[in-house]
Amino acid sequence: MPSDNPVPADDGFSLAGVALRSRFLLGSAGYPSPQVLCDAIAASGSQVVTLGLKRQFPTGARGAGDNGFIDIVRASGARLLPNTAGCRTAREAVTLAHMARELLGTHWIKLEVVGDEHTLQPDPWELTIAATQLVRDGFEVFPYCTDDLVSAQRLVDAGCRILMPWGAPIGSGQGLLNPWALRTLRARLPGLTLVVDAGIGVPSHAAQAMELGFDAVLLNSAVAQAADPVAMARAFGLAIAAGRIGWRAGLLAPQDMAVASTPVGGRPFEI
Amino acid sequence: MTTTAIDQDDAPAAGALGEPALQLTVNGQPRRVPSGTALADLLADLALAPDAVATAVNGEFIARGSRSALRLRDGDQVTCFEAIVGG
Repeated sequence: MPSDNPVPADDGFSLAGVALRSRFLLGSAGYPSPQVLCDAIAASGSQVVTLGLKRQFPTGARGAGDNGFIDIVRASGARLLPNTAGCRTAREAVTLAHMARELLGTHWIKLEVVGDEHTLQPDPWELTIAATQLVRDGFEVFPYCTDDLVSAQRLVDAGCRILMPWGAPIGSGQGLLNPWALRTLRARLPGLTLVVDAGIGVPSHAAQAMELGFDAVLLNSAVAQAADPVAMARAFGLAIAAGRIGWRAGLLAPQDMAVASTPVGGRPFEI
Repeated sequence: MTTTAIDQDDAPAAGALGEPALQLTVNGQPRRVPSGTALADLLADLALAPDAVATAVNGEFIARGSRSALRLRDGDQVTCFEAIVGG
């Protein structure tokens, strides 16, 4: 954890029963080099890093192709969170999840079942079917979902204790497109671990998610594609911590009209 | 999708007892193997370490421990996956 990113001792965070110091989940794709990824993970303070699976034969010597990046992620000590990116059906996602568990030795799975190739938004029906099966198969399911409350409730009914609603489409950098919906999820699902995932573009978006009371943020592109990914990783780490501290401190409720802050007690020269 | 070219020059035309060879699809590429080939045998022929890939046959996950017992059939689609970076 970066020394300038203190986490209050009384604000413990547990993700699927695992105690973590950081509320920042980081994706591993799109970095210019394994070393930059390594430094970004360190600068972010993140203790959970996502991976994917691809239909391909291993590319040969370790360090070649993706192996250099995978080795970095493994060596970082972060918990691995494999995803089912690219899946379009529950069957595909369930199969991929089982593969991930065997390959990576974790029962955690970020469940992605895409319903539209342009928005990459989740298919809520296939997502629920897959989540139901995977919970039965002993997985800890982290479903990437929309911000729809009823769809979210179906995932909870299926046994999910973590939800990862989008802020905006993956990689779009648009931030939180529907804060009302996210705020509603937080209010209606108070006991659930909620992680905003996807669409985060700038550190203030991540802070905003935490200010809504969300438990953590997952992002990838905004760090990996920055001109300086390591600095950006640190910025997001600070923003997530700041948003969390601010939310716990009690945010000022917005008012329609001015509320004077200086207690002058009226006009100064009017007697 | 990235796939690795598979050398078919030495693919068998038939099994040891004259059974017709199996025509498979492996990661999208055609491959002939002798009748009776197990999934584990196929991976060995491809020089793949057992823990380097995860496998599915016809879309069904086949656990590492089950590969030796799974006899491939003509027309089977075998897919091998490895871990990559991801968001």
